[in-house]
Amino acid sequence: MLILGCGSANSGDDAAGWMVADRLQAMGLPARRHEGDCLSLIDAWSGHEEVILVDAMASGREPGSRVVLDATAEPLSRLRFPCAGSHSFGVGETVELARALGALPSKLLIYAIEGSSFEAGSELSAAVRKGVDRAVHEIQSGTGPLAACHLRNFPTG
Amino acid sequence: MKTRTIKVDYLARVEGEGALAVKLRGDKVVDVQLRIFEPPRLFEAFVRGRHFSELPDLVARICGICPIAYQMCAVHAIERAFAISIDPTVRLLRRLFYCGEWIGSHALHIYMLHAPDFLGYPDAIHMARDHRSLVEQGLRLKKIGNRIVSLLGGREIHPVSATAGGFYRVPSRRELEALAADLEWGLEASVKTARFASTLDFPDFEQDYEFVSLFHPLEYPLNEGVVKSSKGIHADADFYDQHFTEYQVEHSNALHSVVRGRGSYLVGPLARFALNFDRLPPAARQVARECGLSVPCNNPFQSIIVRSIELIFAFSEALRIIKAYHPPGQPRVPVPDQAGTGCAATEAPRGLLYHHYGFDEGGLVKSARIVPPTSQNQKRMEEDLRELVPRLLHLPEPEITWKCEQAVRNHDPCISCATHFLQLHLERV
Repeated sequence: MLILGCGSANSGDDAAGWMVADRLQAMGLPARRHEGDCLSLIDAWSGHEEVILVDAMASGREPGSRVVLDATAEPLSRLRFPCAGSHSFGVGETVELARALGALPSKLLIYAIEGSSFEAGSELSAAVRKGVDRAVHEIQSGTGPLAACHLRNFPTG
Repeated sequence: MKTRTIKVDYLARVEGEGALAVKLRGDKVVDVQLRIFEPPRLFEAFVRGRHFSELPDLVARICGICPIAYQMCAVHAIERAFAISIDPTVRLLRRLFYCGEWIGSHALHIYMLHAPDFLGYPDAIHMARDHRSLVEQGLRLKKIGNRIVSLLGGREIHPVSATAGGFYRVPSRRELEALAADLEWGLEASVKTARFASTLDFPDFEQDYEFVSLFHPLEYPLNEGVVKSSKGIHADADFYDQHFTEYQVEHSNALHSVVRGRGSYLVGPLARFALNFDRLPPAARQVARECGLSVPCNNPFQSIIVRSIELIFAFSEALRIIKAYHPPGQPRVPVPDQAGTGCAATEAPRGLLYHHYGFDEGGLVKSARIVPPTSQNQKRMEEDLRELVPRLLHLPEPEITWKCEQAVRNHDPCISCATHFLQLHLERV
């Protein structure tokens, strides 16, 4: 099991994935920030059977709300991630490239938190701060949408 | 007479946001506009008032693909302004740092962005379904570049270790030796990359470019040398403005650049290859000849082979540096606050990058000017399209659009850097 938080500092709600990873790591869970470009996610999850990737999204939903997708079961085209990555390789494209290469984990869940502001220099919004709290709770307890995801090696064991 | 416009509303597989519009009257191209609509980011304004020690980390934010280029240009400009001499080993580490960036950037462009054009796929994801090993090789090469950048810069994206006078931390000999096996593999793989690239189909499209790059008498240029052109310029970066000028055009948020009194010019791998072929390692020259490259190479579609030759260079150079490496006595020399002005030119993966700064007596930035490679290539990219489109008019429009996009991707534009691309509009008027 591995929990990867994607994002960046100093870009408002784009920090959501990193904040979730930091807090889960502090609780002793196998979580870490992903600091490289999106394409290097393929290396980051290599060797792990079950992976939860936490990132901010910009889909027009209510700020702070979340969507959990099973990327091993369906393509990610219906979500938009704010950090598109370099030269068109963002999270969605990287997942699809990994699928084409047979390099996806056995189970890859995308836990996406809707952001409201990704302005350079801005702070995390109040709504996303609550979304981060909920993500930490749901991931560490396996509740919410994760309850139906049938992870075999869930962090809480 | 019938007129039409070919439009690409959003250029794919380039860094940043841009579009392309080609206006035709009959079979005659009457206008080509590379429209860069990514908003200006005003870096030159917001570094003003900041201390010089902050510059390398600030300008690294201009680009996620080539932050080293921006950092190196800034540190060289500061050191030139304040007459600071650096340790020779630090100089070599900077070359190694730059090699890491070239490897990551070139591997990404060759395999993930440019190869799909030649093999007939809309993107690398579709290409990966039929050419898995090719994509895997590209990813592995890119990963090695990232590893070098992480080791020297502290992290993969927007590294933080470079500073005026040297590095905040330099690697141990053992840390660099640990790269050797990957670099040996990468050297072999980059030779295979060049051989693969040479098998692709290239249109007959020779252009009369004025190539501009750094030129160094002893080495393939990365971060030192004079600015040279294939039509006679040979000048220290201090005299950049005597030879080049920038101006604004309505359709682009990035300034256009020309050689004073002449016009467009081209920076990047084709220019470096044309002006510095003799300083490539013998193995790279040999492979270039075996791949059928002429010197200079005036066909921009063949830039995919030239980038592969530069990959061979970057791996060879990285190996040479780590084999000879002994850590410097001190990672950096002190740089006191002082007034001054300084400029520098270095070779980003996409071509010549120029920075010019003025500092007050407290070391604060008074003025800043940054001329990125894509900005300099804009006018020449438009001219490539003016030449190319009339040869394509017998084709169906989707194919014309594809070829136009490919012609832009030949130069691996980085629009994010330049705004400081692609939608295609083909208009018949």
